[in-house]
Amino acid sequence: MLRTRRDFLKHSALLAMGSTVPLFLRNSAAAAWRSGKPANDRILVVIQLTGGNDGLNTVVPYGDELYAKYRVALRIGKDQVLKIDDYHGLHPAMKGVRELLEDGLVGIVQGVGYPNPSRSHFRSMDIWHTASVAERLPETGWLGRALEQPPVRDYRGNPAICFGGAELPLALAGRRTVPLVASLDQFRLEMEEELRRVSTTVAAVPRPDPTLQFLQRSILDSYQTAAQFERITATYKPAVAYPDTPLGRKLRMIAQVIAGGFDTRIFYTSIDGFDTHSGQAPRHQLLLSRLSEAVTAFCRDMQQQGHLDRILIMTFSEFGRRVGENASEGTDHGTAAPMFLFGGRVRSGLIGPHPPLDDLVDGDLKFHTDFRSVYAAVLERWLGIPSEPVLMGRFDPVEIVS
Amino acid sequence: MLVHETGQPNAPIFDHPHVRTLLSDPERAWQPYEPSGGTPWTRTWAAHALRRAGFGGSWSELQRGVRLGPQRLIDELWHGFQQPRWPDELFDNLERTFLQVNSDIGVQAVWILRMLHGGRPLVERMTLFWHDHFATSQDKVQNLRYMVGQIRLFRRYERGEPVIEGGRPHEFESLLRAVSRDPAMLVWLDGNANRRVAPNENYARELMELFTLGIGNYTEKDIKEAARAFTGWFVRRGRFFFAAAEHDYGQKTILNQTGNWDGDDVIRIVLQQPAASRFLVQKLYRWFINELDPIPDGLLEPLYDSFRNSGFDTHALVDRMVRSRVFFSPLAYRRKVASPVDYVVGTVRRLEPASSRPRHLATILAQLGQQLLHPPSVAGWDDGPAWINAQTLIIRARFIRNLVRRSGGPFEGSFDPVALARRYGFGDREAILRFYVTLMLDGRLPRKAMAALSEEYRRAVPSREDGEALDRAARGLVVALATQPEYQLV
Repeated sequence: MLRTRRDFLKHSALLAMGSTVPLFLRNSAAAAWRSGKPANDRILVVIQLTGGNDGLNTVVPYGDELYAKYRVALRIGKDQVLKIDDYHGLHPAMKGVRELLEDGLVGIVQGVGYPNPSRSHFRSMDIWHTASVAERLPETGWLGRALEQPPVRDYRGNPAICFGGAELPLALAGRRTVPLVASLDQFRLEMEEELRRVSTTVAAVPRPDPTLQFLQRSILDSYQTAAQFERITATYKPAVAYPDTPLGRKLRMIAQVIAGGFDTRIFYTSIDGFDTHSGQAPRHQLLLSRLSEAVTAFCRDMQQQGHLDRILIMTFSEFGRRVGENASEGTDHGTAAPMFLFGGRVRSGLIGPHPPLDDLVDGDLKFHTDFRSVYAAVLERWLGIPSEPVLMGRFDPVEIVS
Repeated sequence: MLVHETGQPNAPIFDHPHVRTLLSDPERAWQPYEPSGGTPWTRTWAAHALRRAGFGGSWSELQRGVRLGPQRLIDELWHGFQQPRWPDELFDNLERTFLQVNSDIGVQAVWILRMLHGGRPLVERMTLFWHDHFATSQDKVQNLRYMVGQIRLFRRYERGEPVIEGGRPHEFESLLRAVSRDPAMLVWLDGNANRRVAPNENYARELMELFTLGIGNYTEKDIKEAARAFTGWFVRRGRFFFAAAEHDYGQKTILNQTGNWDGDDVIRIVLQQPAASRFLVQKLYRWFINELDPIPDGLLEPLYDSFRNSGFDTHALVDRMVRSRVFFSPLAYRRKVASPVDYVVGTVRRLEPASSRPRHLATILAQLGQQLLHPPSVAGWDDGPAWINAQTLIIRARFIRNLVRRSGGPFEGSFDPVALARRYGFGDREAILRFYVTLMLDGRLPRKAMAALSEEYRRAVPSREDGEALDRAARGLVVALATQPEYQLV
């Protein structure tokens, strides 16, 4: 029997209750905050493209005559694509990404997927989040499990932060509590020290029940996180202007936290709206330009502040879309798609071939790179975290770091 | 989607003797709860019923609940309870006014007012349940009239009014047929794009995955075929419109049944599946009884049977649940995480500030992740511990801090904790402490936490005559109680 997303979140949060020493007990003073300064200070920023991004119109095989056959209303012509080579081109909305590519800051892993793909948004997203294709998926996410591995395991403070969204993604579910931040302003507690002290004192008395222990730890962690964020708001001056879009604002906040000297290793954020069943062209154009502009601003900002060499940005979506367009000038749920990587030390350029358009399964692209091989590379080659316990198996890492 | 794992887990709750007795005889467990020496009717249980089958209760409502007893209290929660109770026309008129100016937040605020002051809280609870179940968002629909129309459909259904020609009251099949023709739903899941020459699977998929059966109980082929049956079900000029030229009249095979099926046939066939009787029962169990522990083997069997035998009468099912021994047992007590609606509306109902500021409450609900009319996806809100994270806890704390402000802030100092306690006869320092611990936590806080709280509170009011210190301490007391782990559960 399959479990549900609701149940995952519930049970993974319950799992978190069984943890060892509560954070509030370990955190004797603010001074302890930075004492576990890691040797490896590399940062991963995950950007989730929610809804199923049309990979075929993102990295466009414009040099393939079959592309023009499958895409009629939605075709992006030779004269429109931002050419990568004489076969591949980027969607014209991605000008910033093209410039980053020219600077050697973008890697594009093509044909990423997994066996027996699901076309349910929820099931497929859960697969990407749990890094499992088992019928019964685990209750923790791949990043949640990564936080339990050395060296991240031993960090104090917040090793991961999620920006935006109504709830914490399953990918981050595990024993550690990960803060979810809509805006740094929302973290102002606006509560007098005395009120805060009384509430905390009573909340810190040991509780008998695992549910209450989970709530207790979340409450005490939230006060601590609020105090940390209060330190870094208001003073940040980015080196470049960010677009005033939801993703732009979220990446700006991430930059603020990085520049604020937090030890946070993993940032997670998302951009929604990729489920383009009808009238795709204008919406996809808007989404990709927002993605490109926000990522470009973030990379340039971090580059000028000297952080880009320790940053890796990774995008993913729950699936690509079908090769053939539908009759509503849209596309339906498909399978394999490209993943983008950005950063100062990324292996720049195309990684792996475009899946062939003359060898489809039931009208869908065949994947050649398992997404867990990308995860394995991110974990081992980038974060220095052993991948096997996280991915529950061996996946050969894709070469993504130069 | 909600095919829940069942099993006999190790959670401490299942070692409780009362719970073990219930599990040993599921048929009896779902019989109406009648208080007895071993399981007496107390203020705690009245408060529990008010939280789950209503939106929480003020002190006077709590007293009324105690007097009524469990079965009559549930009667009133269905048919007429809350005080002060405003007439339905008032909400309807307000809603119309906000619709005329196309105010999304205004409409949300009116719904919050219904929860605060409407006369039939359990009907409103179920209206919210269907909004979560058939989760449709204004983000895509972009038509407030359609959205309000859909919520009204749920409310009419819960009141036992007809929702479709020829349907029986409270019959799930009627609701599904009405929802399948509902303009907001048709926009939300691309009804107009579902044409004979190019079927769109969106509605057919969610009908099976999220509304009736759950994943794993149908095939991709069933979805494709069901989508064909719904072709031509359009919305036009604000109404359901059957576009015969766009409908596929060909043969379809859906869940092993072959015929020239249309959408109503799909609904009928879907409800014949064994999973159909389990799916909604499990979801309602999570909604009304327990969302934190696995569902014990066999416990729900009597409900599956009665739900099916009643012809999928959802009112009878919910009514049976909330009157049952299970509902009034440790298996249910505080085994749900307070949703933003539970937390915000419940707190305002308990504390009775002079101005309830429904628009502000609507904003807080949005910040806490439960913006009414804007569920995050067609799967609805992810409940349980997913409501809890550092940010939402800070917003919860800031909300209560603002509510108790002596002046200024969104509530403009309209809550006076000492006056509220005194209105109900709790006058001095100790009585006020007792009043709030009872009102907000059923008097149940672990002994040492209670000791720490009492110590802080008494230290803040050294002299019994100091009105200023008492006022300040009572405000601090309310904040401290609302930020305890126990208060995050309902």
